[in-house]
Amino acid sequence: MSAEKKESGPLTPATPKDASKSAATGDDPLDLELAANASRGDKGAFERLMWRWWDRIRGYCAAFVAFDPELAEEAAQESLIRIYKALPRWRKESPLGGYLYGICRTTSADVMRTHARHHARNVQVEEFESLSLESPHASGEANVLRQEANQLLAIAMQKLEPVDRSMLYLHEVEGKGLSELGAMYDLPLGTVKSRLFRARDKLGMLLREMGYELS
Amino acid sequence: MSSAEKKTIDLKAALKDVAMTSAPSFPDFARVYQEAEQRPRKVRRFALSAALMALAAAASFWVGIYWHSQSSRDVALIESWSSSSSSAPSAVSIGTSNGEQSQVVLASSQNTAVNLFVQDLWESSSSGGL
Repeated sequence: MSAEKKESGPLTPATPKDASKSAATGDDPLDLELAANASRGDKGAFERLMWRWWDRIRGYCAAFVAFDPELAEEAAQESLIRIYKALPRWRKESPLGGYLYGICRTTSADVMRTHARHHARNVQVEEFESLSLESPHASGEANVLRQEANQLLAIAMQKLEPVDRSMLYLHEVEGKGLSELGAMYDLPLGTVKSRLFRARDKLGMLLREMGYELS
Repeated sequence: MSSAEKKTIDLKAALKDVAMTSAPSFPDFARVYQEAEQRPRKVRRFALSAALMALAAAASFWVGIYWHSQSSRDVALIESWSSSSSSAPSAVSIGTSNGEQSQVVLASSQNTAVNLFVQDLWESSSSGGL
């Protein structure tokens, strides 16, 4: 989905101060402008900001809740509500990305707690063979094999801790560095490094049991 | 499965693929604004009920304090026995004499002058001892 299709009204132009701030926090200057306007109650700016961030927000929430579609939808939607309410309290000198991901993390954890019964539904790794997969000849072998791999990856990811899952997602997909993750999760660099290593190692081990290797 | 048969997963691509498949496609902004407007009302309602509960708890506390101070007056009479100058009898019985309902007879189980004790008690009570 293209995130920048929904344009809103005129924005406050970026100042040199904003530019230096974005360089310091690593945020896009446009995001900072939109966030500043949204924090003053500009709904157009809020919607435009959320469209720009939507893929990151929904992907992160989905990873945190172990790719459960029902929980992912609830977590992503609830995150939007909380972001909308929390933006006026956002301290402009703190990184916007860290602030938004922090809200998503808290929200996803709350959603998981509320729906604790979903944990019991975790599919056992041993049961992966019973998953209903289409025949390789039905709709293109490559596509079906990719679906199978994704399904098994989702099962293996369920075995990781939510924080490790989300951290791995940010590192692998969003390309967040160790120091960024450390600041975001309020963890020392060494802890982030070892948690990522352990998560990836465990994931690799689980996938090897299923006949897959991580590339 | 042998190692030769093992298939590979591109972690980055697969993770993104799985996340995008399981996550909702579009944000519902109408719901965001609706919920954002409704929640302060819920918070206010909760705050009001919490305030009422606190008020009820405080009221019951003060009623308890008042009740305790009231009952302590009864206790004061008994406590004043210890502050009496004459030695207290070890046991006092109260009864009537020969079926006379208009007379009260105090009897002591020890060789203590009950009348002196009661008189002393009465004086200490009437002089603000209670």
